[in-house]
Parts: sequence; structure tokens; C-alpha cells
Amino acid sequence: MEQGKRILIVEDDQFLREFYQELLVAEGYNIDVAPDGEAALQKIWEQEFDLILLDIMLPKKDGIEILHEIKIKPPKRANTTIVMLTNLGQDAVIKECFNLGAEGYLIKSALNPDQVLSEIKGYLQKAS
Amino acid sequence: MLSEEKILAFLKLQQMVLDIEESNKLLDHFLPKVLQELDSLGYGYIYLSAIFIDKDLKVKQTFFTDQNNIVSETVTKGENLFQKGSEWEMKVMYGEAAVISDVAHLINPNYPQFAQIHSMLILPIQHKRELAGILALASSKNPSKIDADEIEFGKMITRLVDLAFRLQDTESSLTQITQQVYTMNAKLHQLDKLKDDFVSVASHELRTPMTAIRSYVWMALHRSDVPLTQKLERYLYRTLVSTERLINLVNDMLNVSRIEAGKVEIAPRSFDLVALVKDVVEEVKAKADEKRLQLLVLDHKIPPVFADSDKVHQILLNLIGNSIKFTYPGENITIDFFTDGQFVETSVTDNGSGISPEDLAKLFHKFARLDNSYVSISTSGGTGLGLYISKSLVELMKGKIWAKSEGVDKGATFTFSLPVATEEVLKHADQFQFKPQGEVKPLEPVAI
Repeated sequence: MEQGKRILIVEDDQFLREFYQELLVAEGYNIDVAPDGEAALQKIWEQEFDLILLDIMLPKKDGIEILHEIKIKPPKRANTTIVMLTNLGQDAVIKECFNLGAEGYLIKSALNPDQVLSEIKGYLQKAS
Repeated sequence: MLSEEKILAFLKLQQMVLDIEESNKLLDHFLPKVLQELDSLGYGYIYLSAIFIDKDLKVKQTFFTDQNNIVSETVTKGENLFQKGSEWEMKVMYGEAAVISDVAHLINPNYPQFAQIHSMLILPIQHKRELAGILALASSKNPSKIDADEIEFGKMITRLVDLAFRLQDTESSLTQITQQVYTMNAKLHQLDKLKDDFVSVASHELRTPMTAIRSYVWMALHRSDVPLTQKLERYLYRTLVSTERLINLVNDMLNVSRIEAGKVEIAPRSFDLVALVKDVVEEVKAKADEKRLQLLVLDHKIPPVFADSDKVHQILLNLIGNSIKFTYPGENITIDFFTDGQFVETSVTDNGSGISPEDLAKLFHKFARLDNSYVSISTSGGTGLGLYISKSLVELMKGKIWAKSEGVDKGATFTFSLPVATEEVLKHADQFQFKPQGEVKPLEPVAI
């Protein structure tokens, strides 16, 4: 059962943020959200998450900057899984994210919600 | 008769005009030399000034040099050269030399050697029989001491001064034109970058709301808490497919613009094509499973190819994705290889909806409208750009792409070739790579 797993959704588009939130809450996950890079970092450092869904194009601080910062100052929960959830899909960006410690890379526009869910489940299983 | 000494001095000065390399400062170099040369011939002028005028007799440029060898350009631009209607002015206007003793109004009284100047030889500078300016030589001599010989030599010197001025003028206008072209070029570059940035940002901004539409429609279709009527389901399904098409279209258009602008890099390396095909098959397995399609990779022994694996990945996704779209449920798609030692041909064969002979010719065109075959573009989710992109990429890698079909409903085979990584190819590896000038742009992922 996935109940209780805490996931942080970092997404600036309100509709998409609420969409993923609804999708994941319905599955029994415990969800928190952040609409920009700074809010995200604050939550990452102050609260414990099992998984972070991280967009790249974000206001204030982008996803790549966030990856850089948590390399220097790790998340409160040391083994948080970071999965990029973005619409940028160029090979170079994907490689950079993996190099910076992301464990997964999901392209929003290429996956349907079922696929997003099963990917997330997979990453959480791998982590536990 | 001019003395041999003077002729030699003249020739020396002439050579100098032709030899000075910094043409934009020709007069700066040349005028002090003239003064020096005249001095060595016994004509000790205190200063020399050259004034150039335009067609309306307005001063265009003024040069001044004295024994300190410093040339200065004085700024009396735009004024009329002749103001008094005096005798020397009339003479000069008609192309004659004039010697004047009353120099007070021609020289700034603050000039340190003002008191020593007792005469001035004013020579017309002519260009194509028109007055182009004057050369003024100031000396401490009594005006009556200036003889015909001196005037004659001075006149010859004016030709050289004119020549120097023309050369300098041409050079500076050339420099100006070069400068203008350069500025224009930089501006164009900047505009191009702006356009490109705009396209990139706009496409990303477009994708966000499109993803939201797609996600919510998907939910309405798959997670509705009320049963959908058949009609509503059809409407939602068509909305979903159209949104997907729109997303693909944005990606493909970005890719086309990058390829056409020559911003896509080809970085070839030697790799195992069969392994890459197997990866791609794994990637599209979910899509194929939805339609209960079998994907068969015929495992031949083929030599490694020399190509950009990311781009080949893109091509394979496009071709295999197409086959999945256009093959009827329950059927097979076969991927086969062939090599003649120089090239490896990879073919993707399906027994799907096929292509009519008329459409075969148009297949690889941009936004090819296929009237007689294939499932219509709107229901396939296709963009009409995928094959064009594949063709462009294959050709960038020195390969070819083609299609065969017996006709509508008779299936189709798409084949592309890539060079084998032979020793010969590896020796000329640089001919197979393409490095864009300026910024390298990555390709957007292919949707299947």
C-alpha cells in the first residue's frame, strides 16, 4: 500500500499542479506542492519527502538550480528520490539532470496520467 | 626644366603614396614627408596645409602640418573656401597658383610662428580638371623670391596630394561600408537569435496548457465518475487525439526549424545498430501491446555503423511509430538489416494500410498531404513532418531513405541506409560530422 508516502510536486502551472495533486491523492499519497523554486527548496530542506516531482522551467529558481543546491545542502530526508516531471525533453537536459542526481525523467506531454502513476510507483518501490 | 634632383624627389614621394599601407591615415603619413622633401630641396616651408572642398566649394577636410611633423585635421567643415573674392581666390579658382604676402586673415594669429611667415604659395589641387582643394605653403621668404620653378614643382606635388587624398577617401568609404555591413550582420544575428529564443520559449509555453488540456481530457475519458454516453466519449476522444497532435506538431516544427537553420549537430561514432533497434523496440513496446502488434527484429550479423546514434534513435522511433499507427491490430512489424559492406540498410516492414503509388512520391515532403492512402492525418495523430525530419537527418549522416508499397492496404517498407564504420570512413571521420556555426540546438523528442 502506498498510503502515507510523501510526495512534493514542484510545478508552476496551477492547473497541472492541481491535476497531479488530485491524481496522486486519489492513489492514497500524501501530497505537498510548491509553485516555484524557492518555495520548493524551503520545503525540501524543512520537511521529509519520499519523492519529489520536479519541473525544470520554474519561477525564481529553475529545476536544474534546485538540483545543484541540494547537491550542496541535501534534502532533510537523505534518500529522497528526485524525478523530473517536465516538458523539456532534449537529450542534453536529460543527461544533465541524471548527472545532478535525478533518478527519473518524465516528459509530461509524452505520458498519459496512468503512465505517470505507474512510473511514480516504480520509483517509490525501487527506493524502498 | 626641372632638375634631376626634383624629379627624383617627386618619384620618391609618388612611390611613398603608393606604398603607405595604412590608407585610412595616408595623408597623416604623407604630408610631413612632403614638407621634409621640400625642405631637403631647399624650400624651407614653415607649414603646409591642404584643404579639400566639395563641388559647392565648401570645405570638406583640412590637413595641417609643420616642421614638428604633426598632422592635424582642423575643423572648418562646411564653410565656403572663397569668401573675399580677392585676387588669389580668383586665380586659384581658375587653376592658377597664387603667391600672397598678406597672410593675416589666412592664419590664426595664435600660431607660434605667425611672425615669421611672410609669404604663402597657394596652389590649386585639381581632380579631373575640377578644383578639388588648395595646397598652401607658408614660408619666411619674401613673395618675390618665389620663382616659376618653385611654383611648377609645387603644382606637381599637388597631384600627389590629390592622389593621396583620393586613396584615403576610397579607403575610408570602404572601411565605412565594411563597418556598415558588419553592424548589419550583427543586427541580423541578434534578430535571428531573438527569433529562435522566441520560438523556443513560445513552444514551451504552448506545451504547458496543451499538457493540461490533454491531462484533464484523459481524466474525463478514463476516470469519469458518471458513465459517458457514446457521443460524449467520441467527442472527448477526438479532443484528446487532436491535443496530442498539436503537441507533436509543436515539437516537429521546432525540429524542422532547427534542422533547416543548420543548428543540429551530427556527432557520429561507431555503434551497434541492432542493439539500438532493440532499445527502441523496448521503448515502443507499450504502444505496440495496446494494438497487440508483434515487433520482430531479425538479428543479422551486421558491421557497426558510423552515425549519430541520437539522431538514428529519432529516425527509428519515427519509422517504427508510423508502422504501429498504420498497422491493423494483431499483425506484425518486422525490422530487418542488409549490408553490402559500405552501407547498412535498416528496413521497417508492416502489412498495414499501405501507400498508393501517387503518394509514395510525396511521402518525404514537408506537410505532405496524402490523399489516397494511409489513415488520414487527423486520426493518426501525425504531423506530416516526421518523415521529412527523418529524411533530413538521414541525409545529414550521408545515408538515404526510401519507401516501398504495393499499394493501398498492401503494407509498406521503409528503409534507410547508414555508412558502415569502415577503416576508410573512420579515416575521414570529419567528413561525416556536422558542427553548426554558432549555437547548437538539440532536437525535441519524437512522439510515437
